[in-house]
Amino acid sequence: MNRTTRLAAALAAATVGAIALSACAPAGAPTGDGSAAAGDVTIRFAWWGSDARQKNTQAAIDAFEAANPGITVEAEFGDWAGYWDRLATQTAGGNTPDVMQMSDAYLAEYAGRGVLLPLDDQSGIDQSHLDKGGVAAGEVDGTLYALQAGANYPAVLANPALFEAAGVEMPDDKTWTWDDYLATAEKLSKAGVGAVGTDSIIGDPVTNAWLAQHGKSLFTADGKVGFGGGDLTGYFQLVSDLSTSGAAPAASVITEQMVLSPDQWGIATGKSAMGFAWSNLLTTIEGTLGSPLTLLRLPADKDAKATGEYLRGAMYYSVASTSKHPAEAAKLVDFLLNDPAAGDALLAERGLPLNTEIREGIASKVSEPEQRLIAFTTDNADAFGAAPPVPAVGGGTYDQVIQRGISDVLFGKADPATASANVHQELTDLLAAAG
Amino acid sequence: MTAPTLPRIPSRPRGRKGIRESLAAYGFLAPWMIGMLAFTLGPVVASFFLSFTKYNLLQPPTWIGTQNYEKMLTDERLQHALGVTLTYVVVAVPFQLVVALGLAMLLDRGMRGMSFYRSAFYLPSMLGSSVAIAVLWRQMFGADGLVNQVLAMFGVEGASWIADPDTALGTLILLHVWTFGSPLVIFLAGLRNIPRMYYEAAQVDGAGPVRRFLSITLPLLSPIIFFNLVLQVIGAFQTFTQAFVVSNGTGGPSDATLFFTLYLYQKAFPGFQMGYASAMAWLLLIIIAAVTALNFWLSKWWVFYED
Repeated sequence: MNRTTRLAAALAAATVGAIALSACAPAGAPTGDGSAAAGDVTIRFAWWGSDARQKNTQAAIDAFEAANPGITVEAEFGDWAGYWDRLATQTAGGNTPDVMQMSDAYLAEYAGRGVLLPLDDQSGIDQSHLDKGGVAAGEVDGTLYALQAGANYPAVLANPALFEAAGVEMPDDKTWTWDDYLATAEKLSKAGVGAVGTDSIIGDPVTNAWLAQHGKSLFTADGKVGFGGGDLTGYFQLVSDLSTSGAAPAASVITEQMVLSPDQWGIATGKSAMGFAWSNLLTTIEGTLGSPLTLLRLPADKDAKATGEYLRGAMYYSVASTSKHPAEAAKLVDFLLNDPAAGDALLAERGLPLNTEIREGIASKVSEPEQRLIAFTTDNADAFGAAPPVPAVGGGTYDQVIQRGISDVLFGKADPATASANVHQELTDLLAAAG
Repeated sequence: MTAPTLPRIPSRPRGRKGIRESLAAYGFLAPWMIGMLAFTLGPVVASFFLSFTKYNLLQPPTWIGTQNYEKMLTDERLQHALGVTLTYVVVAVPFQLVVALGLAMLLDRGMRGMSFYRSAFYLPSMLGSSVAIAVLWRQMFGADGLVNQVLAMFGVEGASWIADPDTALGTLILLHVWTFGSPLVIFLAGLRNIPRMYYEAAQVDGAGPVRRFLSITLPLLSPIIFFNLVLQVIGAFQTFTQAFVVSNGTGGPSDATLFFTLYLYQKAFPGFQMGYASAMAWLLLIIIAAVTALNFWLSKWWVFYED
C-alpha cells in the first residue's frame, strides 16, 4: 500500500531524526570550551528553501550562536513539499521543531490546531521597529502566531526588449485596466517578434489581488470563504479571453506552467513579453532571461475597490507551543528579525525584511534587482493596501483548486460561471471537512 | 509429468544445540522481522484504527465510526480518481505485457550480445518508478520537449503532452509500458522452459509460426503470463511517484492524472485528513484484493498447467 509505505517512511525518517537528535544533544553539551554554563540548551530550527537560503541562514545561525553562548541551534531544512510532510509527521509525533519557517498557506492550519505559540506576549521579541501592517498579517483570529521572515507583492513583469522590438509602448501601470492589459498583450502577440504577449494567469499571485479589486477575498479573517459562487466568473472570463484572443500561449502551455519552476516560465525564457509573479521571483527570472525586466503594478479596472497590490508574508517564523525552550526560541526569532548581523546575512533572499530599519540598512547591500524590488514599494507606497486574510483552516491547497478551475476553462470542460461555482463549492467543502 | 520426489528434510536436532540453532535463525531474521513489524504491520494496523477517526495529524484523532467510509460514497473526485486508476490498469498492464512478450520472443531466438540486450531492456524497470525518470518524462513530453522537437522535423506542431488533459494519462501509460524489463526477464525464463521438441514436431506437421505461437507458446506460457499479470495489476493500482512528479502532486491538468494514491496523498498530507486517507487506503486494499481474486478465478479458463 502506497500510503502505508509513505507513512512508514515518514515514521522512519522521524525516528531516525529523533535518534540522531538524542545522540547529538549530550555530545553537544560538554563542548563549548569546557565552560558548560548552566543555561546550555539546544533548539531546533527548520525551514524550506534553496541552497542559497541554506547558506545564508546558516550564516545567521552562526552569528546568533556567537552572540548567545550556551544556545546551540540545530538546522533542519529541505524542499517545499518534503518540508510539510515532515513537519506534519514531526508534529504528530510530538516532535515539532522549536522554531519553524511557516507559510501563509498553512499558518491558520497550524495555529488553529494549537501547534504554534502566541507571540504577542513573548517579551523576547522586540516589535518596535517592525512594520505594523506586516506584523498584523501574521495574526490568526486576532492572535499573533507568526512574524514575516520576508514580504513580497504581486507584480506584472514586462520585458522591455520585446516591447521595443514589437513597437509597443510600455503601458502606464498607474492607470492601466485589465482591458488595456489584454489589448497590449494582443498587440505584442500580433507583432510577430517570436513571443506571445503574456503568460496567462495560473492562480497565485493574481487570484487574491483580483478579488481584492472587487472588494472580496479568498478567505475571511474568521476562517470562511470570502467570496460568493459567482464572484470569480469575471476572473475565469479573463483567463478565457487571454487564451482565445491569442494574447497568451496555447492552453497546454499554460497548464504546463503550473508544474514548471519559475525559471522555465515564458517570461523567463523570453517566449512571453509579460507575466505575473510574486516579486521575489524577479531575481530568478531575470537570471534565466539574462536581461532586466520592468516591474509593473497589476492592472485594475476604473471602479476597482483596491489596486490589488499588498505586502504578503512570503514566509514567516513561528515558535512551537510544545517547545521546551520558548525563551531561547523567541530569542532566535528576535535575532533573525532585528539583529543587523542577521540582516546582513539574510539580506532580502526571503523577501523584504519586516524590520524597517534593517530594510533600509540592507538597501545598498542587496543585489541590483532586489534594489529595484525595494524601490518599487517606496515609489508605489500609496498603492499598497492591507493584505488579505491568510487561508482558513483546511484551505491551504486553495491554489490547486483555482488551477483546476483554470484548466477546466481552458480545455472547455467548464464555462467561467461554472468554474467559479465549482471553485466556490470545493473551497467550502474543504473548510467544512477540516472544521 | 510426474511429481518430483522431494528430498527428505533431516529431522531437527534436539536439545541445547537445537535451541542455539533456532536462536541463531531468529537472530538473523530479527532485522527483517523488526522492520516488518514496526514499519509495515504497525502502520497497517494503525491505519485501520485511524480510518474510523477524524485525524488532522496536528491534534489527537477522534472516533467518528464509519463516517469516512460513508463520505467516500459521495466523493466525486474519489470516484474520478478510481476511474483514472482503472483506465491506467486496464490499458497499461496488457500493453506492457504484450511488448514484454514480443521482445522476450525476439531475444529467445538467441542472438549475439544477448546478455547485453537483456540488461539494457531490464534497466528501465529499475529506473521506471524513480523520480529522476519521471522528471525526464516531464521534460521529454513538455511543450519544448524532445518529442515535439522530433515531431517538428516532420512539420507537426505538438502541444504539451503532459499538460493536456486528453494526453497526460497517455504519457504515464507509455512510461509504464517502457518499464517492461521485469516481465520480460520472467517471460524469457518461461520461454526457455518450453521443450524445443514441441516446436520441431509441430514444424514437421506443417504448422506455421502463428500456429506454433498460438498452440504451443501461449498455452505453455500461460502460467507465466498469469503470474506477470497478477503482479503488474497489483503494482499498477499503486502507481504514485510518476503521477506525483509529472503533475507536481496536483493530479492535473483538470485531474487527468489524479491516481487514487495521489488523491489519497493529497487528503493525507496537504489536506490534513489522515483519517479519511486511511479509509481510502483500506478501500484500495479491498479493491486490489477483489481484482486479484477475480484474476485467480478467471485463470481457471485460460491458464494451462502442464501436469
